[in-house]
Amino acid sequence: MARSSHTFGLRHRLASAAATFVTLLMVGAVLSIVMINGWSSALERRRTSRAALVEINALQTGYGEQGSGVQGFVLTADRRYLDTFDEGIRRVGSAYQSLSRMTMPGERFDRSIETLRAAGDEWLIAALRPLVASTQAGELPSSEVIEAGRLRYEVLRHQLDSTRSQLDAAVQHAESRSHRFEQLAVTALLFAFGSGLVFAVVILVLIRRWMLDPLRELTIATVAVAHGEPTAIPRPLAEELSIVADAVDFLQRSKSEERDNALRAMQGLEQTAILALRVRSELANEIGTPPPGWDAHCSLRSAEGVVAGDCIDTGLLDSSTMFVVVLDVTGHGATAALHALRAKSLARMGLKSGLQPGEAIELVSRHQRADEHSQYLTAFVALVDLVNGVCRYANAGHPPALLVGPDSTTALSATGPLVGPFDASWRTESVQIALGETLLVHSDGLTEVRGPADDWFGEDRLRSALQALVGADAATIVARLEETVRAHRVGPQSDDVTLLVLQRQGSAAVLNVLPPDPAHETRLRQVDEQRDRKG
Amino acid sequence: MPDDLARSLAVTEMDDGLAFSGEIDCDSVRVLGPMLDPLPGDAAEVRLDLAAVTFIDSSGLRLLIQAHQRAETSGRSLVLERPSPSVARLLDISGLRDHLIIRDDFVDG
Repeated sequence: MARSSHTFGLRHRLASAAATFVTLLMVGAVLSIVMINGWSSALERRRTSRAALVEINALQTGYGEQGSGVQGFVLTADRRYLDTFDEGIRRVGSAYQSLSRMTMPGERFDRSIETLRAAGDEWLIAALRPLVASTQAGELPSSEVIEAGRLRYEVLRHQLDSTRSQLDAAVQHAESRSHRFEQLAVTALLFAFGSGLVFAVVILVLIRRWMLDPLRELTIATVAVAHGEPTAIPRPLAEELSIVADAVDFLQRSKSEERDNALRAMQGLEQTAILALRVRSELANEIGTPPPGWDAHCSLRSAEGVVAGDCIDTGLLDSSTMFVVVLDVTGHGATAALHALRAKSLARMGLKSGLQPGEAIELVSRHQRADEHSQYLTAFVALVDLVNGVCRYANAGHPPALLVGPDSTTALSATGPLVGPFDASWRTESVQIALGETLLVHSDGLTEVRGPADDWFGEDRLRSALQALVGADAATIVARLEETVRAHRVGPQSDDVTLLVLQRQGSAAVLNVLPPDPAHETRLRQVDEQRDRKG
Repeated sequence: MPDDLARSLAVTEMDDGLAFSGEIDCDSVRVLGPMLDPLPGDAAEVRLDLAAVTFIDSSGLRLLIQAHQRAETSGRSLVLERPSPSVARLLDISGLRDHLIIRDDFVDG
């Protein structure tokens, strides 16, 4: 699925947002650093200026001590005043040393200090020391010397005041500057913090808009798809999530297609099941109400599913003739069932058109041989005169039908080969079904049943079981035979099992068996379940 | 004999044919089918010794009929030798004795 061209990768979006965030933080940090440095520089200048002021005051004190010491010594000749003079010299020297170690706020301060120092030195050398020397020599200083000293002191004091004033102004300026930088630094910090906070909120909002909301919508859509509910798949702007949306959309379309296929398959199965049940019904059409004086019952149990390769067809050709067709197509399952149905229809058509049983089988054989895909089959076809009990039959390789009377059992064996790739004919033979006698037509699935001792149920057991049921009605005979065979069987049913019992009722019947057991199906199931558990 | 041949059947090669021993049912037919298509050897007469076959069902019978047809189509003949009682019974029931070549007397070839 083509994605819209205006989608941008989530990585690019997040990277852009992160870059902007970092840039803002860096700008804020740089501004803060610059402001803090300016603030620090202003504070340092203020501190230096204040320290310089202290030293200027010390100079003033020192120069004052020098002057008062010389003045006292000149007036009193007391040498102790010279100590004050010397103290003043040391104080002044110490102050200048301190000032020389300071970084003065500007060259003009350095020049001012130098000027001050020069004035002080000149006052000391040109005024004070000569006064001391003349006094020590016992001479009175001349008025010129005193005036010259006073003038030099005035220059010195003026320079001191000037320097102090400059330093005071520098202190004021530094304080003003530090206050301004302080405000700027705080503003820069607040800007950095505030912009970071705002941008973090913006990032969270964008993450929610770009990722969380689309993911939530995709999750809701995915859950809906999982539950098979049609839903519109959201189209996120982010490329990565758009890929996920494409996948969910593909999943929805796949599930929809699978659901449609499953629905069609289910409908197909339903149709197949209906068809199978119809085929099943056609394979073993129920024997309706037997004609007066006759009893009939049949059963067909397929080895696979509900359709079989066996087939039973009975009905009335006219008011006094009943036809019987029992077929067994090689194999079992749906394919065999379809072949059986076709063969049954051909046999019935032949009989209804007046053919004898053997001729009806020939009709089936001709059509079978014309079809290269046809399968082999065995058949027992009979026409029974319901008035006199005469049974005309043909057996195409089918297991012998058994005509069972109170004292004997007659096998109605093959009157021709099985219907296959042979050019053959089938004889139609006759037998009399006497009053009380029972005709059993079955497929080989009834006798080819392996028992627990690896023995086959076989025809002998079938004859014995049938003899023991003489006198029972047709439904009972079918039910008991099935029950007996199932009890013998080990493992699952491997072949279709077909039984048809046609009984001519009459006085010869001897009721020496139990009446039909309505619970025989339950017992059959129990026998099957026990065998399955053992198996 | 293939390993996956049905447990109940053994096949032995002999001159111009095969000898079966055991049961020929729908399970063993699935394995026997390819052994008879094409028919073994190139002799005009292909022999199948059925003396030791203890059981054969309709699918086994179908296999023999198809092999018989295949032989006729190729100008050869398929001879079912010494059918066991089980095989003979099914041949009788199905009415095929007149349509297949059956030799009850064994001739060691």
